[in-house]
Amino acid sequence: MRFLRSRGGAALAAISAALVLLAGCGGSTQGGADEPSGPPQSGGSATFGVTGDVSGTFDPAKLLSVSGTIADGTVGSLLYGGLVETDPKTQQVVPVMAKSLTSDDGTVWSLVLRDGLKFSDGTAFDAAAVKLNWERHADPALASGARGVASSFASLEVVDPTTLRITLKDINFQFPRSLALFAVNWIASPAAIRAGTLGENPVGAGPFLLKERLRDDHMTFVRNPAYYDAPRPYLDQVVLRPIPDGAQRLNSAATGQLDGLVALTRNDAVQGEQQGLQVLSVAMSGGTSMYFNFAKPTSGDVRFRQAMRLAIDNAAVSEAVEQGNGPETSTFFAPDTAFYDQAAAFPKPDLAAAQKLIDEMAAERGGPISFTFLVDQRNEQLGTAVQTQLAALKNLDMKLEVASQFLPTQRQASGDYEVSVQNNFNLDPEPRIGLLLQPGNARNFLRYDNPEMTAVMQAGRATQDLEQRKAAYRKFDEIVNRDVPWVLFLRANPNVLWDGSKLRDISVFEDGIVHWDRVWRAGT
Amino acid sequence: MTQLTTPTPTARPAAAPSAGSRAAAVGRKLRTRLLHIVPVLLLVTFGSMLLVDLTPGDPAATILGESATPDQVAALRQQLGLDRPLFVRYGEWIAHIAQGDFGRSIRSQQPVLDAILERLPVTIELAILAQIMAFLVVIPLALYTAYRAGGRADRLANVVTSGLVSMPPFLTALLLVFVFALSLRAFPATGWVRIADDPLGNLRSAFLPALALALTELAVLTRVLRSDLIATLQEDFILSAKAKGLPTWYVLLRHALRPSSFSLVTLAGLSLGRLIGGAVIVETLFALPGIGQLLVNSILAKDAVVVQGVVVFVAIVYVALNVLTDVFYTILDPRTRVTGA
Repeated sequence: MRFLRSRGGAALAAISAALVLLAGCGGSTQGGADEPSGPPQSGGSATFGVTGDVSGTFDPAKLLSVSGTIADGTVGSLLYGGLVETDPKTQQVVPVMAKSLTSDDGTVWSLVLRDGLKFSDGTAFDAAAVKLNWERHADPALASGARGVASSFASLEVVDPTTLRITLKDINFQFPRSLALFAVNWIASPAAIRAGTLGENPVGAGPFLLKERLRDDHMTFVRNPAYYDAPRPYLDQVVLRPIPDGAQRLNSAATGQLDGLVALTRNDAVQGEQQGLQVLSVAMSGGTSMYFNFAKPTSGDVRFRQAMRLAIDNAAVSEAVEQGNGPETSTFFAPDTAFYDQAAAFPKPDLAAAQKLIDEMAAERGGPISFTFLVDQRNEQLGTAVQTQLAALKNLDMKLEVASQFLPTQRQASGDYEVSVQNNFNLDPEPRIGLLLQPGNARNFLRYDNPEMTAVMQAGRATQDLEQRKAAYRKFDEIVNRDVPWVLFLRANPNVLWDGSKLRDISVFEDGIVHWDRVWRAGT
Repeated sequence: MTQLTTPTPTARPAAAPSAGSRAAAVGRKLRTRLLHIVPVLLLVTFGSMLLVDLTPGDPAATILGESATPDQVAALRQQLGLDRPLFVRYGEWIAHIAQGDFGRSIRSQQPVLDAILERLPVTIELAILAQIMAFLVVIPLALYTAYRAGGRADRLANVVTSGLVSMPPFLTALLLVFVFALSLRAFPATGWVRIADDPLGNLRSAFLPALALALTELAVLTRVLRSDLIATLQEDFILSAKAKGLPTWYVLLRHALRPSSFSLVTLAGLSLGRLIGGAVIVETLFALPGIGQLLVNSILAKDAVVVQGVVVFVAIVYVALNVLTDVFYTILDPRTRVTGA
């Protein structure tokens, strides 16, 4: 199978796999999957705790991103499967219902579907169905969360029943990553779309069908007998239970109400492990970081940003916020990910050097350096930990401003902040980090503009060759260490926890969505 | 809300009113209270819309997610009418409500009334169960501690009720989960079983959340009823009843309880409304699909249409319970049919 391979010869297939998944805890399985445990058995049910109900309806255009941190990701994957997915072991986008996705020039892409795909209503899952779905996402009236991706198409052309030619408005060799991350990955039956019933009665070609739903309580899915990858799925039924509170999800697992759950914090994962649950953590690069507004006098001064980097000890922050349970944060790219480079470690804490930089600025300005650190309520503890550490510096006055949940994001977007915090974790720098550092882009709330960085990110985006991308991101690391657009504090690795005596062959894709078609129940 | 002249328990009605005058009095009271609902509803709905509007965040940005451009967010704001002034949006909303149209959720497109009615059984059941649990404890405990005021049991009850009053519901809920779900494995930690699916399972799933709600209520109600009972037990007619040789339980239940119940009825009426509107924390902690969780999720998504619908509903329930409380006074004390406002 040829996939994501440029006909010009750039061999993405040669991408070497770098292990991603952490095994940082005793009950953890290695890699992205549970230990092999004999031939799968069909039948049985699994009840799984997720962080909430779906955010809109079951219509792919109303589901948000393909992420395990929200119910939308799991629900969309159960109902619609997916054209492609990102393997967190390699960060490589691999085909699922697509057979291949190729491009010579990064602008014109050819999507080839598997033969004989059918929706659960018996209609054909073909290139015309993909085209119809994608055109829907671009419709402003539908307010799709994937409209940004759908708007990047200049044209869509059905070449034959299984082939769709996609012409992008701009060159983007990382287009498959956008396809994997957003709801354009989920294709619904055109018949159901035309009937207008998709929101409550979804019809896809995924491994499961929606049987019943009690909003905010449970969603029951049953096996799709027409699933393309027989004999999968093995389970007869998957029940998703939206439980917003992480501790209560763990409690529900402890009382046997759940067979597995999503845990968003490392602390919850550790607690789950202590309860005897298996833990699978997905290593994501980046994480919870202090971001600087380059357009403000203080935070725009590189000496200030470097001083912050040198003054803050991540180990102490981790101790204060997550009892030291978090993964290490000495580099932007997490260990065991494709672009990890130990040599690119952030400078070690050095209070004397930080003090020297602050003193230099204070002398220039004729007084102490003041700034405000804007955090949301969820990160108040983090803000306090940082404030405590910075109190060791003279001539520096940090005010901690704690705002309600959404306010910091709004103020970041409008540029109304000096220093703030955001949780920004990714399997790959594209597309999110690329947009964050792109001058003039709406997502560049840092107001960062460094032509050297722009060129580096473009280089990383414009090739599929892993070595060329590695070279680009080594340069990225250098510039980050020099410019300090952010100070990374904590990694935010989503975790999947499950009762190993009940569920077998757990593996995940993206940031922790379970491959439910592969899971089976022991003793069925 | 009630405008009652508190009767002295010793006073007796001058003359028993006829059934017709009783019905007329109740009718007058109902009309007055129903008229009061309108300004109350306008006030609370406008206040809630204002608050949702003032909270940071943009529903359009939330709906479109991270792949949207600012232009797309602005277009959706316009499409949803979010770019228009608050007063205009409120006026339109009121006009729709007057026609019985609560609107549709911005996010899920579900009719708001359907969303409320879908979740109402859960919240109503919780509130009623909590109230029943509270009353099962309140009446015997208050009677006993008032009768033995100052005794060891009374002092112990005072300490316990003070502790319960000062404990926030989320802490009570977490403690109950720890003891009854995690340690004893007697009840589920989260989740809801529909009564139609499994009546026993339904009671098991509702027990801990209802108890978490009941504990705070029963503490307040016990203290109030105990105080009123102690005052009543000092009255001459109680002494007279005792002098007739009536058994203590009979004196307490038949003579003391009724004239001591005014504050209890007032608070119970209000607390039922509070339980319905205030099950937010308990429903979130126990992951129950009730009105409280609908409200929380809608606030987080800035789904103002749903928030408004829930607020209107809770306000109507609250005012209706107030009216019922007033009507109940007329049954408890016939004098209020004449003197009640």
